[in-house]
Amino acid sequence: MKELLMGNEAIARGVVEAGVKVVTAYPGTPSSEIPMTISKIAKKYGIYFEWSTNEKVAYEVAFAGAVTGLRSMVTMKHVGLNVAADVFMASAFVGVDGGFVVVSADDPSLHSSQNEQDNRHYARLANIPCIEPVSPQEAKDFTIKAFDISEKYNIPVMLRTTTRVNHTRGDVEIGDILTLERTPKFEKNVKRFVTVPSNARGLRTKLLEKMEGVDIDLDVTEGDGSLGIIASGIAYNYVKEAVSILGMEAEIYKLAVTHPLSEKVTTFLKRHTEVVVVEELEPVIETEVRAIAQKEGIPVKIYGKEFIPRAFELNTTRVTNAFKKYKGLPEEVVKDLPIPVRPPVLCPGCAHRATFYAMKKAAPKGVYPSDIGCYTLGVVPPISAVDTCLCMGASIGFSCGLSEFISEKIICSIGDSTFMHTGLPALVDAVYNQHKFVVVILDNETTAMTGHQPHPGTGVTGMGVKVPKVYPEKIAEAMGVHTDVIDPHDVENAVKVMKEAVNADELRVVIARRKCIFLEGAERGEPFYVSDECTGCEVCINQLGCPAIDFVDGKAFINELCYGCGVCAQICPASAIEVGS
Amino acid sequence: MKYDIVLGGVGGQGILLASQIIAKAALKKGYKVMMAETHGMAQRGGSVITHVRLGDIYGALVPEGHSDAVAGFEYMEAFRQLKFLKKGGKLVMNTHKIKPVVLDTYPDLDFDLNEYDVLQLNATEIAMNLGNVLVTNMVVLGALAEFADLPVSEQEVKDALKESVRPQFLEIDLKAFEQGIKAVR
Repeated sequence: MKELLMGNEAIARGVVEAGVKVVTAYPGTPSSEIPMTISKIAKKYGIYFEWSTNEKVAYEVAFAGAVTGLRSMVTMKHVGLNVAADVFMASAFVGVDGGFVVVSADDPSLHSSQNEQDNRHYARLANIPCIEPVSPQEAKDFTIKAFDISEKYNIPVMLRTTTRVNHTRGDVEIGDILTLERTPKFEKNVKRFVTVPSNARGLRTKLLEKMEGVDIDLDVTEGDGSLGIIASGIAYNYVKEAVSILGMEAEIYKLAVTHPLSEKVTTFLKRHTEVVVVEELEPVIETEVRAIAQKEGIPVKIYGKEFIPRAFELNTTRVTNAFKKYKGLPEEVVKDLPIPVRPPVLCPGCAHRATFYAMKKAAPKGVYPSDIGCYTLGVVPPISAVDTCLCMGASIGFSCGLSEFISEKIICSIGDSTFMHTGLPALVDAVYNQHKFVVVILDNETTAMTGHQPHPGTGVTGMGVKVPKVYPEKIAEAMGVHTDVIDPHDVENAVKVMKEAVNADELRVVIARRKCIFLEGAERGEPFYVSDECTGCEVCINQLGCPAIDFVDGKAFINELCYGCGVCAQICPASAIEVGS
Repeated sequence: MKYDIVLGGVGGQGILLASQIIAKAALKKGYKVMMAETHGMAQRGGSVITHVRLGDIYGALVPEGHSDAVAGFEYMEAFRQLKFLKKGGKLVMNTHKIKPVVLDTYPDLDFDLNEYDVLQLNATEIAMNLGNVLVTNMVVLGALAEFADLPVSEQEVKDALKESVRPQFLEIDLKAFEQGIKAVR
């Protein structure tokens, strides 16, 4: 039976079919739908699932599952692996018993990320196998394969995907579910699990030996021609179409195992005089292939990044143009029509808008370090209350430093989920080292940007169990920080509290709490309208930047998007905004 | 057989659902299907685009200038996706305009459409007359099913629609779909 599944749903289906018993994650685009799907079906299939506080913790929890013999998976976006890198490296040394798969969902072209990074490098860094599917069907099949490989060699395996695999829907053949009856057991073994130098040295050589023996048979070749094309991962799809469009004769090597490279690559190089390596992002395979040719003395001419763009994702047009360039033909130029961009903005009724308003009222000349989440959209004018966004949790850590070096007031913003993720250690630093600034926790009671996942502050787990909430105000107070909790939609009080915090000459925490409008139980108000009293001063437009307020014929006009939050009515100097229509 | 469709609009207009309905209808008919979606930052009122590819296809992304049809769920967004449409391809465009919040006024857009087979309709107005602006997507879907030469029939799209929408919206969604078809005839 075939079903239309998103790549991420196909991976989740693969998890079920492979008899996996442990899945953990911190959400991050484009990986989030894998754990979201598992979260809904975990009970049914006897899977332990958790939304972990961050990727490092998620990795550690799943790894514990794997060393007790259970098939386990941890999922994250590419930058999540930066957070989990410490344990990721250690896990390769220690090895696994039950199959262990780490999904790294990379985001070429930065559709929803702060950077573009190629996590195939990570697989090489840790020296573990890395396999890459190119379609939803392969996403499912390779998930199952990854567990087999992991158990065969007792090593973690990276399933590397990109946005175009994660968020592509396609037909997927549904298969049978493997039943594995395993009793989890932790067998003490100090030499293996305690990575003090004397033990870790042995683990290091053992890992090298293990990888020497790894032989994964997933690569395939097709077509004929003196020209050889090595297509790594998703690039295969574009190569196939470009070759068809240009009517090229070539033998294509579909590279699914991007670490360690198969012996088949060497024989492929031997039977061609020219080879073009087509890969998205970094010249990882190209560099390795050049090294193989040099070492083996193969007289093949190798091309790569001189034709294939290094930045941003590939597509058929870019690959077609690269082949044209290789053949010395003129490239095809695709012209974009001159149309203004339509960037995403904070939703009408979003409480963050009022929080940013209060922050700017309290410190008009302040510096506003921020963080990763919906609220990063506070950078868009006219809100303009986001001066930095580096990585998860950096708003607080960066403010710790900045507050020591400049004289401006510093008022940073961080979401509730991000605060739990990596904001906490930085807040401890701020307390310990007596840094003076204001931390505003924008608490909308969910992880909104990635699709409304619960987190420790929400009181619900990934298995749907109700648990006591972890309150950020209790944490901050326990550290001895003066902490206020405000409702951002009570504008007058929010501004008052924010001003007190800014002028306090000490570290302060302000928690601006109001539910995301998409959550159950979020209060939706009656829509507002603008009366004849409007003077056309544009204060509402220039200070809130709400999609529900237009400016028509010299006056403000509230359109059908109004959510009824009433913030504009509270700040209107002419009291011209009222409930009703 | 190969058929490519690019659908573009504004986050919140239900483009993903409309695209999935076409994909499901094609899958039922036994075609190979691939569909690329926009998630994450593109929601929240930003531009949204999906690529739907049916039949003898490779990856999920339609190359520029190769799409058999483009559906624009908003006026400006229709033009934004025009680069994907092949010469003589079918363009269905909603003439309704949604101003990007970052702009003071909606820009004048006047581009040559002579190379394409174009259907313009105010799908948003039709949806509002039916009582719910949210069914704009089904009006455009109906118009696309009637106007473009999709490899799936109107009835097959309709059947997929019935399986895809929430029960409480089925009646109005079907009405909107029919109105979209009518707008072409």
